[in-house]
Amino acid sequence: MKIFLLIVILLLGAGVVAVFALAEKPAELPPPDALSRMDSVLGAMPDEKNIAKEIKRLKKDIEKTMPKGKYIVIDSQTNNAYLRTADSVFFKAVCSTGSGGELTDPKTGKKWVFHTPSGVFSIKNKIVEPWWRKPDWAFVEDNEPVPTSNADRLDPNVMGDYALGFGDGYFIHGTLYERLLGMSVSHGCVRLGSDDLKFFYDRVPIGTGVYVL
Amino acid sequence: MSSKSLSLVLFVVVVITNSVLAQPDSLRREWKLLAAQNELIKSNNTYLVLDNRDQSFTLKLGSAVVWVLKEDSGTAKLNVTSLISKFEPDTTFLFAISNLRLMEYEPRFPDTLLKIVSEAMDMDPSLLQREIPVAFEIKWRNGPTLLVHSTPENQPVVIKVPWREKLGKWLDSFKENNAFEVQTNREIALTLYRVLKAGALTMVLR
Repeated sequence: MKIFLLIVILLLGAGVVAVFALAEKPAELPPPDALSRMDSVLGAMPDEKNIAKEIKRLKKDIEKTMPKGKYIVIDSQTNNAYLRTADSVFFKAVCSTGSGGELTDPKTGKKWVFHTPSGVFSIKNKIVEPWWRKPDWAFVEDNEPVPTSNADRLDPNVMGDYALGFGDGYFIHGTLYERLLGMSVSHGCVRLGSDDLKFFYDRVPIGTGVYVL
Repeated sequence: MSSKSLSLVLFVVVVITNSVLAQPDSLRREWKLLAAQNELIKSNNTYLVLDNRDQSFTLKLGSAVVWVLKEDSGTAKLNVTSLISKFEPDTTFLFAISNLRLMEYEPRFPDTLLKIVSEAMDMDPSLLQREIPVAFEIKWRNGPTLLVHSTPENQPVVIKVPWREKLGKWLDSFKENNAFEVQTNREIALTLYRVLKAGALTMVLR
């Protein structure tokens, strides 16, 4: 009888172990670098004499980065552009952002990657009836020789009625290809439909924050 | 001096001493919070903020809110207080995402439509199949798990979980619940899935 009970207990025990062994849990990754970097920043705490002064400085630094009024959010993941504050979205428009495609010049070997850069930017300039100064890649893409004259690079018909520059040669502008809005097909600029572009142009002053995801 | 006034003096002394002793701690905490916030702003990366005071779940870039989910948003309500309580230790306010996992789901996106979309976007249909609609799980290191899912209109999504994982979840149900769920629109869920990465930081404000 005792032996029988022992066997039953052993079998039950093995069953429980098997159940726990079979139960799958999603794999976890090791501790990330970002947190280690943050730990080292937070480890450099100022001494008690200076801590109040440092708090004041940090508050000032953070305050400087806060968006003043409305700002633009470009979601390049879903190709949407928003005009919003922290609490509300005032306007949403479908846009086109960078395709992520690559192009290599067969002659020089120079390489371009067409993505919309993510990060924090601001509106640097506003242009009415902008002309596109075609960069080298536009000619390489069309299998045309790169012109030496600046005049041969200018195209008045492709950027729509307005352009809002947000730095590094990137613009929010119009497009001839409105049917492709909502898709990642641009060379890095943010394309908008003509009515939506006018809405942004009319309401966004120079200096407005542009946050690209 | 009467015993009454003596106790009053003692009480005042104790209160002042306590506030003086407590000050460096609260200052240290405030400095840490601001320093962390400042670093997150400078990082140029998106990060999440869970705030118990205004019951918000926010995605930020720099110091700007790029998306916010209030507690009453979505059909699957997110209890922010309860979610926050699962981050340990409670003296820490920065947590890293340890894992992001895209879930399988039913029903499948119609194959005919999928073919058109995949050709237009020059993407493998199987990749699109897994992303429209979106269901994914965020697991925080030393924190809870949050299932984020979207549903196409009038079409309930059934998330497919392998039986071994189901067994694991069933066993976990005997322990304290560390799994949460939130539903949001497809675009937001897709954005969250694509911008968040393992290692991305979350600020937890209790």
